[in-house]
Amino acid sequence: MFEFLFSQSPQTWQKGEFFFASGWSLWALAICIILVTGLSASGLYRYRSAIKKSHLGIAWILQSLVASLILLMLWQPSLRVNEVFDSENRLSILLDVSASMSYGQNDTSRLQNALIALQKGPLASLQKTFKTTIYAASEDLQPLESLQELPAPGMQSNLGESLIESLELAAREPLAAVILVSDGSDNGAIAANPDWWNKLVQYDVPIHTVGIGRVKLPEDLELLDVELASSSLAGSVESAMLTLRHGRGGSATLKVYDGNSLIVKQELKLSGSSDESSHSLELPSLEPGVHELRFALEPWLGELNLKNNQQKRLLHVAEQQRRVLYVEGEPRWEYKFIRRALHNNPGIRLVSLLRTSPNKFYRQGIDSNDELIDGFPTDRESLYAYDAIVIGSFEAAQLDKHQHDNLRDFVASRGGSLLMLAGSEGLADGGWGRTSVASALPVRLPDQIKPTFSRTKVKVELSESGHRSPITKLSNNDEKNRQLWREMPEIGNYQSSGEPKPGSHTLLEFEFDGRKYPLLVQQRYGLGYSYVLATAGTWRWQMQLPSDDQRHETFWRQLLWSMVDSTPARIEVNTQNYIHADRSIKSASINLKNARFEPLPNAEVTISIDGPGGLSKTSTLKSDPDQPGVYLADFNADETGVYRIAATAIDINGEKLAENGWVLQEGNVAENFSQQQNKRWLERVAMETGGEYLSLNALENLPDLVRSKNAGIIREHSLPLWNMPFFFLAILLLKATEWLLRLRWGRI
Amino acid sequence: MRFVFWLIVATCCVAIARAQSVTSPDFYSGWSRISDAKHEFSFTRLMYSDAGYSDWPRWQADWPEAETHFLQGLERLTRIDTDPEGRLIRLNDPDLFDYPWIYAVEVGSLHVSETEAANLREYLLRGGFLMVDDFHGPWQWQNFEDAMKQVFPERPVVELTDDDEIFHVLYDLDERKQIPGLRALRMGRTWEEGGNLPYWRGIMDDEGRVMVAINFNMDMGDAWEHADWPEYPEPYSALAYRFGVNYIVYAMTH
Repeated sequence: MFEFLFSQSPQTWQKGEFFFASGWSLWALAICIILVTGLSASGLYRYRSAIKKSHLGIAWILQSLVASLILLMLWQPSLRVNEVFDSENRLSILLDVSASMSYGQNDTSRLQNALIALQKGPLASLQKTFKTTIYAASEDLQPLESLQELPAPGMQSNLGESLIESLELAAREPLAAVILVSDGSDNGAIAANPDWWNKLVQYDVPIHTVGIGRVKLPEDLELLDVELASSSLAGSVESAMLTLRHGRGGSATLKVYDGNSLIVKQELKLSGSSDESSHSLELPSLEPGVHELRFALEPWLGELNLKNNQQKRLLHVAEQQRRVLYVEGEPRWEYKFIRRALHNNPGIRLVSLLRTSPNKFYRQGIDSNDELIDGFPTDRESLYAYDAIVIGSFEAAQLDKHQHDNLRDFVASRGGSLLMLAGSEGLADGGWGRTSVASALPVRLPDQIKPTFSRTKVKVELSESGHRSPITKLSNNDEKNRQLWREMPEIGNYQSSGEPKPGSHTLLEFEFDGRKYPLLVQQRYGLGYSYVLATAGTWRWQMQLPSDDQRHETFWRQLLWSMVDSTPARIEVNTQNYIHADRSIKSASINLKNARFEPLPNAEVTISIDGPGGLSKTSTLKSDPDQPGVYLADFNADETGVYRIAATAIDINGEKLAENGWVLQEGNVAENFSQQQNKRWLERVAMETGGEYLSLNALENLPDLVRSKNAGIIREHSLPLWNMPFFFLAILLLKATEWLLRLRWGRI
Repeated sequence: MRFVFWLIVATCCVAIARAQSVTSPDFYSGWSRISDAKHEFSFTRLMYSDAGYSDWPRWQADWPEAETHFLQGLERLTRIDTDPEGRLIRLNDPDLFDYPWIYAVEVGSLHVSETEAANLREYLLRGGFLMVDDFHGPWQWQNFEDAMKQVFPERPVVELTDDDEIFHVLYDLDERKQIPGLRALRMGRTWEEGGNLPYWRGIMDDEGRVMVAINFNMDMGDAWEHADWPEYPEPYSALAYRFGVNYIVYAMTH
C-alpha cells in the first residue's frame, strides 16, 4: 500500500534524500502558498453573510490544502538515491554444503530446502541482473557452474575462511554483496579469532545471511564440551566439567570409558529453564600412562543425531612424582599426620627435614643418602629441584639471607609453591616477617612484639572463596561440602598471621572472640603461589574423626596437589588444545629451562613423533628467536588416533632432559556438533558488514535488499515524486469533501 | 569366732576405703587429667583396670617419678616441646584422642572391656601410639596377648628387628640389652618371673608402621624412675632414656 501511494518502497524513502527538482527557492513556495491561501480567504469572505463562519473556515482550509498540494507538485518533489547498477556488479552466493546441512526433518534436508527456496525465489532474478558466481562452501570454497553440480557433503564448515576467500576472489571486480546461505555452524578455527571480524569488515562489502534450519532442536542431546586437564599426577583424582546442550529438561546418563573399561556412570539432571547446563564429574584415580577417555551420553528416545553424544579426551597421568620439601624445626604431631596423609601417594614424594634434637636432623622420603645431607639447600639448583616447599615451626635464623632470597625467588622466578605453617617458631614468631620471604607471603605478618601462636582449640569455617576452591572441596556436591566442613572437629591451635594482602584469597577462616581470622590464605606471587596455613593443629581432624574418614587426608592431598600442579617443570611439551580436532596440522611447543629455571635457548632439541599408520618422524628444533627457550614444531596428523611427541633436550653441559606430549586426532566429528542454526552468528555477520539476516521465508526480498545497499558500482539518480498517486488522491479527496459539505450546507 | 568375724569386717573396710582413696578423682588433683594441652607432647600414662589381679593399681608402677625424670631428659635431648608434668587417662576418656602417645606399664595385668578395646583400636588406627613396658614371664605375656587380641584379633605381634626404623630414628640402638627392674637387680639378675630374655615386639598397621611398641621382659619405667639412684646402674638408665626418646620421636614422625 505504501509503495502504491508513494511510488517507492519504504527502504527507498529511508535511504533516499528528499529535494525539489525545480530549483525554485523554498521561500517562493512559501510565499505562493501564503498568497493562494489569502486569495481563497478573500474569495470566501464575500459569502460571510450567507454562510456560517465555521463553514467558511472549513471551506477555506480545504481550498488552501488543495492549492498547497498543487504548488508542491509544481515545485517537483523528488528523491535522490544511490543504487547498485545490476549489470555492472558481481554477486557471490555461498551455499553451505557441509554435512550439517544434511540434517533435516519431514523428509527434506536443510540443503534441499535451501535449493528449493533459491530456485523458486530470487535466484533467477539475481542472475539476470548481476554477474553471479555460486560457490559451494564446506572445508574449502568451490565455484559451481550450476546448482545441479553440488559436491559431496563436506566434513567441516570453514565458513569464516570461505567468506574471506570469496571476498578476496572478487577483489578486482565491483562486488555488490555476498549472500551466505547456511545454518551458521562454523567449526573452523579462523572465525573464533577476533581479528577475523575486523578483516571481514574491512572489505566493506555487505554480507546478507540466509539462515537455514531450526534454531532449537528439542529432540537432540549434545555433549558440547568436556573440560579436563591434559595431565595429572598419579594417585590424584581429576574433575571434568561437562557442558551439555539439551532442548528440554529431564535427565541423561553419562558414561566414561577408559579404553573399553567403564570407569564412571552418572545420572545428570537437566534443567528445563535453560538450553545448556554444566556438570562436574569426578574421575577415579588412574594408573600412570596415557588414557584415551570417551565421555558418552546415552541417547534420548527419538534422537536423530547420536554422533554428538560423545567426545574423547586424552589424559596423561604422569609417571614421575612431584617433589615437595617439608622442613620442620621440632617434632610435632602435625608433621606426623601430614606425612601419613601423603603416605603411598604415587604422585607426590614428600621429602622432609626435621630437626629432632639441637644438633640432629632426621630426613625422610629422600631419594638417596646424599639428598639434604647438608641440611636446607644452599644453592638455587638444589632448591629449585623441588616443586613445592613447606616450612613449619622453623626459625628464619636457621637460614642465611642468601637462602631467604632463594626461597623468595623459588616462588617468584622458578614458579614453585611455598606453604608456611604455624608454630612457636613459625611465621612471625620465627622471625620470618623480617626476611625477604615475607614479600612472597599472602599475609602481612605482624610485628614480633608478643607470641602469636596459641594452643587454643578453634572451629574452622569455609570462606566464600573456599567454597569454590579445589583445595577445600571435600565433596563435589556444594551442600554436602559445606556440611562436611561444618562438622569438622576443632583444630588444636592457631597463629595470628596478620592481614591478608590485596589479591590474596582466604579459603579457610576461624572465629575467636567474636571475630573472624584468616586460616588458609593463598596468593599468586610472580610465577608461583604462596600459602599460609595459620595452624599446626589439623591433626585433630584425623584423631577426632573415625579411622575410615578421609577428610584430613583429602584436605592435605588436595592442598599439595594444588601446590605442585601449578609449578612448571624444566622441560614441558605443550600441544595445541583440541576441540573437534579434525584439522590435520598440529603444533607443539617445547619449553626448556636450565637448573636455575632460566630459559635455555642453546640446547640441542630433538622431537620424535610417533602416530597411527606407522608414522615415525624425527627432527631437530631451533629456539624461537622471539621466545628464548621455546622450540616450536608443526606436523601433519592425517590419520586418526593418538600421536606421541617425544622431546629430548641436551644442554651445553651434556645434561639430558626428556618429556612426552600427546595429541588426539579425530576424524569427521566436527560437523556432528552444534547442528542447530547458529542464528546469532549469522545475524552478527550481517550486522557487522552492513548486510541483513533473512530467513528462508523472506528470500523474495533479497533482490531489493541487494540493490539498496551501497556496495559495488553505484549510481545516483532522482526519482520524481510529483506524480505520486498520493497527491492526486489527496486533491480528489479534499475537493470531494468540499463539494459534499457545500451540498449539505445547501451552498453549491 | 567373734574375733575372726570382726577381723574380716575390719579388713574389708580397710580394703574398701583404700580402693576409694586411690580411685577418687581428688587423689589425682595434682595431676592434670583432663585439660587443654599447653605443650606439644604430654607423657600420658594409661590408667587401666587389672580386673582384681592385684591388690594395688598396677598402672601406678613407677608413677610419678618415672615420667618426672624421663621428661627432663626428653626436654634436654630433643627439640620436642614437652609438658613437664605427665598426664593420666583412661581408655574410655573422650580426651584420649587428644594425646596421640600413651604409655602403659605392667600390662601383664591389663584388662580391657569391650568398649575400651574398641576405643583403643580406633585410637591406634587413627594414628595413636602405645608403648607398653615392665611385664615378664609367660603368664604375664599370655594375659597381655589376650588383651591385645580383643583390640586386634587379626593382627599378629611381631618381633622388631635391628633394621626397624624405630631403633634408629634419633639414636642408633644397635646394641640392645635387657633393662632390669630394681628388684631383680637386688636379686643379682636382670630378669624376673622367668623372663630371661628381652623382647622388643610390635603390632603394625597396614603400612608397616609400629602402633604398639612392646617391651617384654624389661623394665624401662624403673630405669627412668631410679635414674638418680646411685644403686641403679647408669648404663641401664641411659639406654632406657634412649629407647623412650626413640619411641616418642618415632611416634611423632610415623
